[in-house]
Amino acid sequence: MLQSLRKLVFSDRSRPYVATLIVGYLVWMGWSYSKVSTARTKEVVACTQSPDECRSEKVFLALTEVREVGPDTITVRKSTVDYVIAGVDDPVHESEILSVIATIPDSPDQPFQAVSWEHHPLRAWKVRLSLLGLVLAGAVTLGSFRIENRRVVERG
Amino acid sequence: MADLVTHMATALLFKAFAGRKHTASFTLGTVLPDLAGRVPGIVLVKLVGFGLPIPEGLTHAPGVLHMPFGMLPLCVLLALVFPELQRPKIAANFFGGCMLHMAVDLLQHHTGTGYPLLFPFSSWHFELGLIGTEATVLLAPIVAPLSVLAWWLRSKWDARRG
Repeated sequence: MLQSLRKLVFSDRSRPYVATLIVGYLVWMGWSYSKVSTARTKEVVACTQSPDECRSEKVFLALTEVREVGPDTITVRKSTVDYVIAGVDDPVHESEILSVIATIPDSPDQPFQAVSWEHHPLRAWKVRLSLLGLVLAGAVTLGSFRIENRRVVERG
Repeated sequence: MADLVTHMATALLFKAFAGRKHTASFTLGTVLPDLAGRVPGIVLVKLVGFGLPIPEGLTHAPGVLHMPFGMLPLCVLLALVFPELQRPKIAANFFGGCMLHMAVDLLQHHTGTGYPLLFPFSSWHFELGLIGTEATVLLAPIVAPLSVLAWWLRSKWDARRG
């Protein structure tokens, strides 16, 4: 059973069909996930429009980028959406990465109220390490694989 | 996600103990979830920052390649470019690397979120929350040379055994 499934998935004969099926599945999965993940953003925006329905509900904004620092508020960006937040009373600077738990405001013109927040001072080093990792991954790929008879093969 | 240097180091450490065959595929597997599932999303969000009208949903879509039920078909897809007889082992090593990547990522703590491990079958999120999201930055300078040393010692040992 397992042997025939392996043959079906990995044989040259079924290759174009398997590849098409996988690409189709991944596109569908990506589309489904984008719907789920944007639904929460829409929910939060809807809450700010009719705050009575979700008064004091919390939003979790993990690893957001600080876009603006005002006298009483900061603006952070999560994905493509900006959130104005009050109550972060630590020193915060622009382009810093911050995780915030905040409550939804009572009216659309008010800022979100921060309940707790976490600074990520080592984030820049993590990005640098990941860039180094990208270069190493490129080197591993070029150094460890070669093309032979229109197929990729491992060296050694 | 932990940083890519730590992910690659864990791959070398694993292969130093489990056997060196297909180390390159396994190592590539440990960086694949971030390369395919995170980098495109980060680039798209940056492009939005430059004023390009990219829908928010599109910035989230590549994230499925950082989930087990997205990683598995991706590994099979990538294995299809290899010769027919090698494909099962290459796919297994790619996916093994991806699972090691997930195991390291699950150690982290994110504010109010976790990893959707069972999507598209469930929206259940999980993470162990044992270390901070930047904890590996301090570990990488120790783990990376150790893993290279362990892998080098293993290759010497293998060579001596013939």
